[in-house]
Amino acid sequence: MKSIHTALLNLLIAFQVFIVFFLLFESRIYVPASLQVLGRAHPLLLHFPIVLLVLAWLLGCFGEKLDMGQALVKQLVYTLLLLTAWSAALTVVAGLFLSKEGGYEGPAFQWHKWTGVALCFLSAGLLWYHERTAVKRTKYPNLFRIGLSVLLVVLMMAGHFGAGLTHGADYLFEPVRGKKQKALDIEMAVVFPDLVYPILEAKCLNCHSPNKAKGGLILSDTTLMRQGGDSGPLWVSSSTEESLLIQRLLLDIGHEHHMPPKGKPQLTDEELALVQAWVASGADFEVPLSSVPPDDPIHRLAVAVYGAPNTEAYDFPAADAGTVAGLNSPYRVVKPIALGMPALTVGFYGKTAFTEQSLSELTAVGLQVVSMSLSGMPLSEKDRQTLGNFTNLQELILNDTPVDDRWCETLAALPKLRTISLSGTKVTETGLATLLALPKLKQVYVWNTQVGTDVLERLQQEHKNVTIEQGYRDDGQTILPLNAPLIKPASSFFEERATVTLSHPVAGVELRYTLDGSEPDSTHARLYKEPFTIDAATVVRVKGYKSGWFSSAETLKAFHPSANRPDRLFLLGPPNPGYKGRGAVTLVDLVSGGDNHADGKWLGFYGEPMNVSFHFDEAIHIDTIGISVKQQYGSHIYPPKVIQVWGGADSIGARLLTRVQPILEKPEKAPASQLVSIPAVGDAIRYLRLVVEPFVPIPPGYPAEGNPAWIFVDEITIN
Amino acid sequence: MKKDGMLEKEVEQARLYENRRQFLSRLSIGIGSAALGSLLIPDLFSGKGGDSDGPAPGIPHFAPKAKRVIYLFQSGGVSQLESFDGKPKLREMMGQDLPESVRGGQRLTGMTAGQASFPLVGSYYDFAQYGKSGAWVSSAFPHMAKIVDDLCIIRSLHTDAINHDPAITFFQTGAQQGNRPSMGAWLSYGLGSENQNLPAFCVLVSKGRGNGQGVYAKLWTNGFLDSVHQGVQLMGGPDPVLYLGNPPGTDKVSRRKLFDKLAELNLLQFEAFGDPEITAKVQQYEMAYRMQTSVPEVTDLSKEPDHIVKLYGPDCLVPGTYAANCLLARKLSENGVRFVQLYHQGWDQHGNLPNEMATQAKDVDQASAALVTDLKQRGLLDETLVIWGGEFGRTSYCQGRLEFNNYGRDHHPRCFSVWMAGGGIKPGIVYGETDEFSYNIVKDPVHVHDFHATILHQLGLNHEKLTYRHLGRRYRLTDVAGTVVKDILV
Repeated sequence: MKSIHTALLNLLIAFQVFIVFFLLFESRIYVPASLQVLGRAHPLLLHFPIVLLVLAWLLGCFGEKLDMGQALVKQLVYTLLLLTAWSAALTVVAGLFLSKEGGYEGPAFQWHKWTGVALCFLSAGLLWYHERTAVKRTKYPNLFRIGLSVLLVVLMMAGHFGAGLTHGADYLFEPVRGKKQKALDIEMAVVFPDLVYPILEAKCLNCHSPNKAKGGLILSDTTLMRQGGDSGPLWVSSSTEESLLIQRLLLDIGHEHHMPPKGKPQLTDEELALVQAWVASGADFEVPLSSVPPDDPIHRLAVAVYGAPNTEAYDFPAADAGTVAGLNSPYRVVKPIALGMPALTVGFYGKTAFTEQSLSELTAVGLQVVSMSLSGMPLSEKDRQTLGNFTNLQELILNDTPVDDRWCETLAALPKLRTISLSGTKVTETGLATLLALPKLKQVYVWNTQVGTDVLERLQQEHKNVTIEQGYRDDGQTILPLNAPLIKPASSFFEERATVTLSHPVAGVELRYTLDGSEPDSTHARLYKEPFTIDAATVVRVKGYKSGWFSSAETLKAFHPSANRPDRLFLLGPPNPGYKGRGAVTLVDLVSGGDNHADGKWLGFYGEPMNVSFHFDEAIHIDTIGISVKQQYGSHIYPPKVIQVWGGADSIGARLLTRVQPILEKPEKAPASQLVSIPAVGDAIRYLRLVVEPFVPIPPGYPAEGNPAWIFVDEITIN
Repeated sequence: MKKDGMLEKEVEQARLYENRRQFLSRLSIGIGSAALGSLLIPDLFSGKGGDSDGPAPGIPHFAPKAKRVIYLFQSGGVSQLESFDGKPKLREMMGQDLPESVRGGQRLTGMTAGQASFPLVGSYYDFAQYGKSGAWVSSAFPHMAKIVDDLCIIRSLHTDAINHDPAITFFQTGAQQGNRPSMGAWLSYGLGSENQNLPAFCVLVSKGRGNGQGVYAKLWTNGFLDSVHQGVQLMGGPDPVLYLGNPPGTDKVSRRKLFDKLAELNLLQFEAFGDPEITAKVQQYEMAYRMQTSVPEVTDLSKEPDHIVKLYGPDCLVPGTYAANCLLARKLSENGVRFVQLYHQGWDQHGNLPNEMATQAKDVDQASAALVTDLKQRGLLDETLVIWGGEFGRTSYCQGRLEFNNYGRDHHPRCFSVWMAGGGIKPGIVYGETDEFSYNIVKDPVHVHDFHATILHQLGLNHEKLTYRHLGRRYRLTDVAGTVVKDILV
């Protein structure tokens, strides 16, 4: 044991001599690579003196309280102290080797170095003192304990500064001190100090500050930053490919030169993009954010990294929740803008419910209202005065209200107004000019007001930071065609007479119509004033005219009478189950079928003839029979091939009155529906039967040729 | 040899020791599992209790940019190749087959799976660039081309479904299977209606003249949310909301008394059974009563001034047309309806595309542009989010007859175009890019879930926090996906 102690002691003295030598000739010493490895072992070695010294301190100060022999305690303390000194010396040597690697120049480093050296020598000194005096006594003298404590303090200081070198100066208290990220003021931001530097500060300065400058690069000062480090300047031009900074940032994380080094906090994608964008734009230290062109990605990245700029802090207290709830009604809504925000937004609905108190009741929360919509409300003079109380108002909508220039004076006194909408009000250019003096105004809407276009343009030129929106102005240049007029009634069939009403959705349209089948025009056709009656088969054609518009498209409707109504009628063969309407009655209900043959007003027969019989209690004379059929060749719906009309006094005595084959129009010319008119003269008819046969098969040259055709009938007229 | 007595002590000690050992080992396992749990479930110990499963507060989670949405849904699948995604390469390669490398195994619908070849067909309509962003818009949409500086055209939208029902259901409810709450229902649940006298969610349907697919109540359903959140369809015609008026012989005063008594009876029932549908019904009656005054006021189109009629086109006075629905949408939105959904059918051009596209475009072009302009001039565009688009796009290859002026296109889910305006969306930009065939997305894809997340974000809602617990798990509009597309936000 003694020999080991002696050996260690001798080695200790040797180390200490070496340390002194090193310190004296530090600047001329060059550390070879193999010894640099020892230097790198410094973070490993430093743990040993820490533990050993703490143990020594514990035993030295409180050892006599233990239940062991004091001789043992003293031996332990001696050994521990010796090992402390020895390992401290080794640590210091390693530390000195490490420091020669370069990059350590700042005050923190100096503190660390000298406290470390002090630790080594002081512990050796204390060891000597122990041997000299303490061994001979039963208890350790107080000086010894004080010495141990001092040593402990020096150790803690060395440790603190060392950690500061590795992790950053305020590493210890950083969690408690909190991130002092001030909210970014986008309007006043300067790109480098406000956007780029905080990233460097957070992720790079630990190793690239005056205290510790790895690679000879210091990033805390703009001049030094421009100079760069040992490997060269950080950028040469605004090319990001040639920039050393960007290259190192973009290297694969496994690469040894990737910055920040693996294991340290990395830059996020947005932070990386921001730095790249800054270098690409010329790496200027002074340019403010507002000068950067708006389509530069820096703007979006600034928001992405630092948060949206308008998370504003409202500087007024929140209103009482009960008051706010009490102010809500079905016609007035008062709500916070978002959860937990004191700012309120107000909306009014239902102009009939707007009373004198509606606005004045809100003065209870006047300070908190930030956004308000009074659109369409019947505002009064009293409301104008009340409005002056809402000093924190930022957005105000006053569309279609009786607001005029005097209101603009009241509004001009609200300092925080940013957006005002005055569309459809009586505001003139004087009022508008007053409003434009507001400091924070960004948008004004003056559509449908008295302010003329040229005045607006002039004001817009004078106030470039405000958007004045004038909206759509009808310059009389755009002329649109009117849409088609409407003809009522919807059904084409009537019994004896029908009252026809013509209308047009746009007000003030002149309707010109004809009843003789000719095309109407604006001079010769009749002018529609009131509904008129027709009592025979008529084709009504109508067009609309109005000045400032092109004439409308024509609406055409054919009306067909059906004077003789049967008392009973029967379908002698059922219609197709999908299109059975309301049975046989569908054929005489005077209701036209629509475009959709499945609407229940058409009877459909597929490949089979329609066989319908009509019974009249009183004998009638007939002249024509009309069958209204649908035509849609693409859907296999064709007019009938043959129609037979049988008539007589009863079913047995019925004879064939006539047999017609309707004309089959070409597909391009076939109308959507037509009334097949059959002249069939008969006297004293009490029983009438129609046999309507379809095309089976559809003739060649027509769509779906070869297939059986459908027949769709919605009405049969008997005259 | 030890005696029993001594053994006892040993045994006793052994047992205690055993217990100690067991206690410690179980303790360590327990603590270890808790630690593992807190790693896997990050806020296991935070005491936050996760998202609240109760009703949403009715206030946005953070300051919103938009307060209301108008969604102009073009049902049937608008062809992006004839609207906003012009591809001259297709004209050059007219008639040639779609390269297999581009198609990349995209599944075909049953309608074109039988085709022997997939010949490419170029757009019949010419494209030109408009506005500061130089957006390409086809000649079929001249009015939209004029307002391109107010629009954000997203060309890189993509969906998973290839047929109408799953695709449109996906867009409206966030899932291809039905019976989930629709977008408007989620917004009504999350934010409520601004105006208590009108429903929070209104639906307006118009038929187009092209080949149409139906829209049905599943698309505006409340799903598993309270039935107060379902969409109210306003009909074209004199009676926009069916059965709203008083029956002949009754008047407002007697109706009021009727509703009061009815509410009392319903409350008794509610106290007995606690069925939330009962309170929903009472609320509906109350709202219907208020709607008797508010709806006729809002839907009365006859007093619109001439310049408005000119802006939207004269069709805006004919109830049931798309233009009339747009005008109505503006009026409803102005009066505080949170979500107005329009449907315009007829965009499913499997054949006869150039003709049908012309008529369809004529129906919607002027009115949609007018809606944006009208909102803007009233200062409402910043707080209203207007969306225009369909449920998927159309293929670059032809379906059916191929002539330069008569061709059709099949469904294509992998890329299509949609535009958004107002509501805090950056105006005058084009986002996303497709390849030269408009078949695959090359840059910035936006999935339907991302689209939904962005819409909710603009309304001040965190799409991951607006949830509802149903059948044992929390549901949300974006289901389990969706990231907000920050690049298109102001």
